[in-house]
Amino acid sequence: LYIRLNTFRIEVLSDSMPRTRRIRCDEMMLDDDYTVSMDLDSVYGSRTPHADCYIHYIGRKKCQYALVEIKGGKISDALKQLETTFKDLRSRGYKINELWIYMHGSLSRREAKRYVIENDMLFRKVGSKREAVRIDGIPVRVKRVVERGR
Amino acid sequence: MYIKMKISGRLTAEEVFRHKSTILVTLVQTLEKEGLFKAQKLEVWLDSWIEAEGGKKLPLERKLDGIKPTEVLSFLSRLVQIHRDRILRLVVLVEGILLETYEAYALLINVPELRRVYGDILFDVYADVPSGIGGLIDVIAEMNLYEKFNSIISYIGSIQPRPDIVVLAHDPDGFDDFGKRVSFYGKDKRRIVTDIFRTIKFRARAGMSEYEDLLKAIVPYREEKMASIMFEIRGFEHRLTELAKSSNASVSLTKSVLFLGNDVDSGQKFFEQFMNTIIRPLAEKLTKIDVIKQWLQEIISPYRRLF
Repeated sequence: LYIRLNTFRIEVLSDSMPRTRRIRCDEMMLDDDYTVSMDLDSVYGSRTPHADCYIHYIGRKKCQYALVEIKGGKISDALKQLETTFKDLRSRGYKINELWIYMHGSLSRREAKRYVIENDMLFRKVGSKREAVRIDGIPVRVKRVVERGR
Repeated sequence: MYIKMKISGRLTAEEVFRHKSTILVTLVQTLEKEGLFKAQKLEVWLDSWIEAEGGKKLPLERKLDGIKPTEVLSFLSRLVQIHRDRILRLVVLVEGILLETYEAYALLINVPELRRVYGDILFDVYADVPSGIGGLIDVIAEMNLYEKFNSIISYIGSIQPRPDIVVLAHDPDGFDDFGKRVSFYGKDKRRIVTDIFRTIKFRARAGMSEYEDLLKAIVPYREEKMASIMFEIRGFEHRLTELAKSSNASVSLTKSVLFLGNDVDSGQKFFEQFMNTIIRPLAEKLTKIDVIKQWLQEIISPYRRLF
């Protein structure tokens, strides 16, 4: 899976998605089965914390609606932005059944004390146990990305 | 920007919270005075400021049109009185706009588990990767705001209650890794040396092989003592100033230390220069832990058992 976001072209190191399809958030480009259904920047402007894109694709059996945040700084920021947008979109009646965080590199060592990523899923450490991070019951998936140049 | 306080055992939890509130309000007020930030909303959370992490928002949300220090401080003071039994679960979130463009927030963290990761107070910008903003440092670099943020750091370092450390860094790892810092204030001037020693340990433990040998050399020595010895040597402070200058930064040393970078890589450059000119030559002459172990072995059990 390739994602092109403005100046970024990134390769997602995940085999759970086909590698040939493309999404462009900035131009709301429709490519293959993926559709960036909404340009979230124009919906929220720059003054409200929001996720980076809302996409629709056809999964194996049904339509999937995913909210995507690209982690820039801390993972906690990404979660907060995802959560705020999720609540707002749900209240407007939009379907969301997947939550993704795309991440360059790895977690900061300090944040790794609090979070763990296993099998593309985000977990929170609670004492000696781990708890999947969920927003309204939907688990947050983390996909590692490698920048392919600008 | 990350701020950490030294929590004295003599202070009650309420007093500590009040100290943190004062710093939070002063930070937001200073940012507003500099024309950088405008607070719009204050929220109080329990356990975390993210629901997905088990955080719960208390119904105490306040709309703000800029921060009014006395009003906010008295609100926080009342908050502590009401929630006395769950004071160590409180998180205060102030959201607003930085430079009329970027969504930014300030946090007061009183939850011990979160405090260990993010420090006591933090100020950052929500990332917007498609527009090239990954955090506060990116905004500072793009708008060349080093001078303004450096003056804020030096001001925050001068107020009472005095924070232990103020770090302007890419992520919370800036507390442990000098190379990730742009600027910082330390209550104790020895911090500029001790944090370099700690960075070596941090990087070696993160698996960076080039620091593993150095770690063997420095690990038997106490960082504070090494720093004290260095500061006793005449000319050391001058050397620090020179190193900072060549890293596009400045250092001022009183009882405290103020390292102000004018470049995203200032901290890393300073760290590398300090390593090359002081730590590496020193490490060659220090007795390594393996040698100490061998000596101890010879002293404690000089005879090898045959059976």
